[in-house]
Amino acid sequence: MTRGDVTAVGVLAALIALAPLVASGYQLSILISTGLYGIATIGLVLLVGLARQVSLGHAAFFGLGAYVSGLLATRAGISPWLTIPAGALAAMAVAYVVGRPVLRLHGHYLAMATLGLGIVFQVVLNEWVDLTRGPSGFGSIPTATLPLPIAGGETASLYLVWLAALAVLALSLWLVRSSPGRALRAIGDSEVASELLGLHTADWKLRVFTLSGAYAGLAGALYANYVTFLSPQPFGFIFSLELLVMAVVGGLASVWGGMVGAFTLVVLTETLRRSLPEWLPGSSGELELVLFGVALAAMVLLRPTGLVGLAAAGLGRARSLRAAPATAEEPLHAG
Amino acid sequence: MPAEPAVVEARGVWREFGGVVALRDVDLAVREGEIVALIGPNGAGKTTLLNVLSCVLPPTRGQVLFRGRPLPCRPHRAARAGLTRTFQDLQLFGSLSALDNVLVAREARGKGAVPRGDADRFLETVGLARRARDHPDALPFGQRRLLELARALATEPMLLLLDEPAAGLSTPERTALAERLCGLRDVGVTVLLVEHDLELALGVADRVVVLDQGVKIADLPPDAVRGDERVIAAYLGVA
Ligand SMILES: Nc1ncnc2c1ncn2[C@@H]1O[C@H](COP(=O)(O)OP(=O)(O)OP(=O)(O)O)[C@@H](O)[C@H]1O
Ligand SMILES: [Mg+2]
Repeated sequence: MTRGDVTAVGVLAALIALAPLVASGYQLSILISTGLYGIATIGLVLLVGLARQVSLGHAAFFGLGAYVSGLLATRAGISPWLTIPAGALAAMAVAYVVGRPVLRLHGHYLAMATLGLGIVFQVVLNEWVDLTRGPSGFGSIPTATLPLPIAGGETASLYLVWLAALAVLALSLWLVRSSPGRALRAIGDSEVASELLGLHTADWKLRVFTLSGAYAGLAGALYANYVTFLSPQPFGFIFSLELLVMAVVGGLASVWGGMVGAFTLVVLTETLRRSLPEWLPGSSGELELVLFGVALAAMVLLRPTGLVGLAAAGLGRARSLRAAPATAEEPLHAG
Repeated sequence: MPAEPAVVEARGVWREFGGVVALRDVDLAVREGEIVALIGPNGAGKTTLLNVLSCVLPPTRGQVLFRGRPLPCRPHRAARAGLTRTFQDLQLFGSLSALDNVLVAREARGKGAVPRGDADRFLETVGLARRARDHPDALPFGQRRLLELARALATEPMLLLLDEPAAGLSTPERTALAERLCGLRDVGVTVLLVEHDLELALGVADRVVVLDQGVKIADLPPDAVRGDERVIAAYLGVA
């Protein structure tokens, strides 16, 4: 973590802490969603941005965390304080088991394997009715309550989700600047050269994939704790794509990109959901998806470094106008 | 046969790509502390031989021994055992600074935390200390080669395979490289050097191996190379 990162995390923490004083319930729900999706997206930023491996099934890890946590709390009556970590661990374990054989192979087999995992996961949720209640889902999931004298459930959820989100953010910011982060970047840049320095590239890729699975599972468990109702529908392939879009739009070169991308897409989706019927009467959710697709394509073509890259380039330009002329354009590698 | 096993040895190595035979029954042994130059015209199979010796490609037939034992099947294990290399097409880490390119090599040795100064030292030895913060794509081509050399040296290898390290270097950089290579011999590093610049290769090598169309056609001392008919024929394309 750079000093700038520490400051930024501190400022963000303060803003979140104060948000309930000024924000409406609707705005708080946007912040909560940002925290939830941000956790999962940061995992993808690490996986895709550093190790250049793609997961097309992160919705399954998110859903697995949600279901494991939700079912344990509802069916077994275990405290949510335990079921939330259990959800994260379950997703982590599945990521390890799926990743281990696949990441020994060269090429983009991970994308295919995770695509398959997502499909299998949907089938299990829908068909194993005894356990999951099938397509109709289940509700009344007991909620973790923070031992704080705070009013409204929305505020409690905000604090709980962001406690986790800030921890994930800080851990990841530290990670990318430390020795594991360098190793992962090296592997993403040149696998053969990394191997010939002595890096066990398959193991490193497995580690980051497992971590990203754990993040997604944690986010899912917190989601279950927040919405208190689960059904298979939200955890399909589209959601996997949305998480990837968040990572790419925010920027794969920086952990902050995960948060920025999550926030951007949450706001965009909400705005569209509210205003689209006014602009285009009779339009459906499909159009939303088309717009996502266009946003993704535009971002990849115009600004491969995402919104964070855009901001950093803006800052860099402002800085270089003030300072002596730079010798070379400094590449963007914000932590 | 010397009592010490060769650091690396190819025995009857063949490598085919579809119908192309890139290596044809090649035997080569590099002994400890030697600098062996591997020369030959374009497409002779030099890079392919380095790929086989560094476990990047398996041989189609034949065997590679590393210190008398069969080579471990994965490159990282060969690297852990003391082998590293550079690449003709440069395989730098573009998203890391020059210093981090070297640092990651130090850290890959798995010997705990590495202070930055420790990595600096290797940039200094190739004259890149001032470019520590630059990313590889901001460096001129010749300096990228030197950075790759620094990164390889940072693993403190026992055996170093170099694929055309002088390509793209200026004359002073070449001279410095030659000195650096001779310095490696003094500290006991074994080097197999693929090089197009004959002057450089003959200047530093103890022994020269010539490949032509996948076949080893000569293995001789450097001062005999220029007068050797087989070498002249291979280089002039006379069959
Ligand atoms: N991965 C590959 N797939 C197919 N053919 C290959 C491959 N690598 C090398 N070859 C072929 O093997 C032969 C030897 O190539 P190699 O690169 O080893 O030659 P070289 O001696 O290094 O040449 P240069 O001096 O141009 O670098 C060539 O005919 C080349 O086309
Ligand atoms: Mg070559």
